[in-house]
Amino acid sequence: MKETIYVSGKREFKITINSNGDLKIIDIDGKTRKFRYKKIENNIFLIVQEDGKKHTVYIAKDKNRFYAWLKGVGYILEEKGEEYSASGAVKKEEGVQYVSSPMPGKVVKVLVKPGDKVREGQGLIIVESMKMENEFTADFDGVVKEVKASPGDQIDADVPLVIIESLAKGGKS
Amino acid sequence: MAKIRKVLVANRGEIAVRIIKALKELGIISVAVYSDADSEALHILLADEIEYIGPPEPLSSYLNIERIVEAAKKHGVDAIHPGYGFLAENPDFAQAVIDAGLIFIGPRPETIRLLGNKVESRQKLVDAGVPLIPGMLATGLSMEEYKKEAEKIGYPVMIKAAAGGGGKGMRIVYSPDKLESAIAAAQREAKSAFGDESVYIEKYIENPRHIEIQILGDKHGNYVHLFERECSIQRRHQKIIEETPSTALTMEKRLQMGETAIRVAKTVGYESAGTVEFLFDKYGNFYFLEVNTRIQVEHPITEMVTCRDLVKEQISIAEGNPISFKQEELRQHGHAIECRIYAEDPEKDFMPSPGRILFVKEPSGPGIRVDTGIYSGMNIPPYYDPILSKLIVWGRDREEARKRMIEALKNYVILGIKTNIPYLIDILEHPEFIEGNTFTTFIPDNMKNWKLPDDIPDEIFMGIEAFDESTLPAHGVSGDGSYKRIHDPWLTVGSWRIVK
Repeated sequence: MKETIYVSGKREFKITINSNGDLKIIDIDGKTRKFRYKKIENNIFLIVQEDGKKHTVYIAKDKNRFYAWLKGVGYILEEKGEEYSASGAVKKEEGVQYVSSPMPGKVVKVLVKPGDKVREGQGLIIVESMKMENEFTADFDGVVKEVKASPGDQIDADVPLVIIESLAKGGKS
Repeated sequence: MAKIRKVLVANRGEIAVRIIKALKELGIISVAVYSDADSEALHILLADEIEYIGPPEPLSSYLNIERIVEAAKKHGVDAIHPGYGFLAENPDFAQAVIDAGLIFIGPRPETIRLLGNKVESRQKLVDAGVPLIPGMLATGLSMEEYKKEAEKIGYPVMIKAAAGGGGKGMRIVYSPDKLESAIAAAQREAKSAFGDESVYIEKYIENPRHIEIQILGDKHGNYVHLFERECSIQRRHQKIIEETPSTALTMEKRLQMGETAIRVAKTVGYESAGTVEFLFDKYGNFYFLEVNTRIQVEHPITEMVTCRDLVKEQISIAEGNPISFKQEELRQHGHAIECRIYAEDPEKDFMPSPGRILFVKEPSGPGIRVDTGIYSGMNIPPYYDPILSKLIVWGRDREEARKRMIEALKNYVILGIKTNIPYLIDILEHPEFIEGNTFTTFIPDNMKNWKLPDDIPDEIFMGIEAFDESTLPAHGVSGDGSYKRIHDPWLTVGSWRIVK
C-alpha cells in the first residue's frame, strides 16, 4: 500500500493505492475505484476502469510536480513532502511567505526594503516576463525579513525574492 | 525579374517555421537568426543555415537592424522575409534591406511609412472615398462645435482622449443633454491620465465586430482581395480566435468590403500581402481602421478556404511576378477557424507562463493544420510574445469546423506550462459563439471570472499512480532516465517528423 497527499491550489487529496496483480485499487479521499493501466509511451497511459470506461491520460513530472492532461484540460498537482510547499521548490514555514515568481523573468522594481512593515495585498516586487509586468503581493500583514533581488536581475521561477514574516508569528516592530 | 535563391527569415517562433517550410517547398535556401534564448528553437532546427544575432532582449537581437542586415550579407542571401511583429512594419528596416542591395519581402518602405502614420493615411483614404468612423478627425473643438458635430454624427457618440488608450477619458453619450457634462468629465480624466485634456468625438459603434480583408498587390498594378476574416474574439485587444467566412456578412456586403479594400490598396500602390482592417456595426456599416502591412498571424484561415499559399505568393511577388491568379478565380470553400495557443494562465488575467515544455502531442486528422514553434523538451523563453502555435481547422460549414476545433483542442496535449487551451474550448462551446454573436466585447461580456473546473477527475489520480509505478526502478524502467529523456530536446528531435 502506498499513501500520497497531492496538492492542487488550496485543495489536498489523500490517495492510497493497492495492487492485486495488474488490478489497482485506488482510494481517492475515501472513494474506492478499481482500474488497470497500460503504459503506451513514457508520458501516455491508457486507464481502463472496472466498468469498462477507458481514458487516455498524459502525465509528466518535474521535481515534485505532476502535469496531467485529460480531454483538453491540464491539471497541476504537487506531491506533498517535507521539502516542498504548495508553491514549488521552497520550504514551507508557518507565518513566513517566500515571495517568488512562478516564471522566469527580469526584476523591474523592488517596492520594499528589509524591516518595512507591509499590509496584506501590498505590492512587494515587480517582475517582467513575456512583455508583461507582474506585481507580487504580501499574503498577510507582516515585516520584510529579507530582499534577495535587485532591479535588473534575471531570475528563475520559484526562487525566493522577498521574505515576509507575519506579524502574528512574531515579526514584531 | 529577380530569381530568389536564398532568404533570411528575420523572425522566430511559429511564423519563422511557417516561412522556412514555404522556402523549402520552393527550393530556396533558408537562413534563420537567433538570440541567446533561442539556440534550440524549432526555426533553428529546421533552417538550412543559422546566424547568431545577440542577447535575448529583442532590442539587441530581433529588432537590431544593423545586425540582421549584416547576417544577411554574410550568408549571401537575395532577400529578407520579416514575418510579423519585430521589424515587419518598420520602414527603416525595409529601406536598410533595399539599401544593402537585397529584396524586402513585403510592401515598399514608403507604403509602410505612409500607412504607419494613421492621421496622414486616413486623410488620404477619406479623399479616396474610404469610409471612416464618423467624427474621427474632429479634435480640439469648442463645446458648441462638439454639439454640432455630435448632431451631425448621430447619437450614441463616444468621447475619447486624443492622447489616450486603455479606456481612460472615454465616455459613451446616448442623448444631447448628457453631452456637455460627459465632455467635461472626459477632459478632466484625460488631463489627469495623460497630461493632455484634448478629446475627440466619434460615432459609438454598437455590437462591433472586427472584420478584415486580405489583399495582395504586385509590381504591375494588379490587386486582388481574398475575402474576409472575422477576428472579434479578443483578450486585452489581442485576437485569440479568428474565422472565415464571417457570420455577419452577406455576399453583397462581402464584395463591397473587398472592393473598398482594393481601393485602399490602389490608393497607396500596395505591393505584397496586406490586411485592411474594418470595424463592422450591427446595422451592416463598416468603417476603415488601419492597414497591417505584413503577413498576419491569422493568414492560414484564408489559405484554407481559398486554397492559396500567401507566403509563397509574397515571395513570387517580391521576385517581380504578377499575382498568380485573378480575382474571378477566387472562391471561399467551406469554413476555417484558427485558435492561437498561448503560454499563459487564463485564470490569472492571462499571465504569461514560460518554462520547459515537458511533453507535446499535436492533434491530427482530416482538416487539421498546426503551425507550430514548439516541441517536447523545448524551453519557452520569457522574453518574447507568448504565442506557441496556431491550431487551424477546416470544415464544410461553420458547425463542422467548430466541432472539429473543439475535438482538436481536446487532443492538443502540452505538459509543463500553462496554456489557454481549456479557455478556448469554453469559448467555442459558448451558446453566443455557436449563434455567431461574436462581437469585440465577447470576452468581457461572456467570459468574466472564468475558472478551470474545480474537480479533479479520478482518472488523473489513476494516471499519476500509473506513471509513478511504471517509472519506479524496481519495474525495470529508470524514473531518472525517463525524466532526463523528456528534458533532452535532441533526443525528442530525433523522432520529429520534419527533421531528417
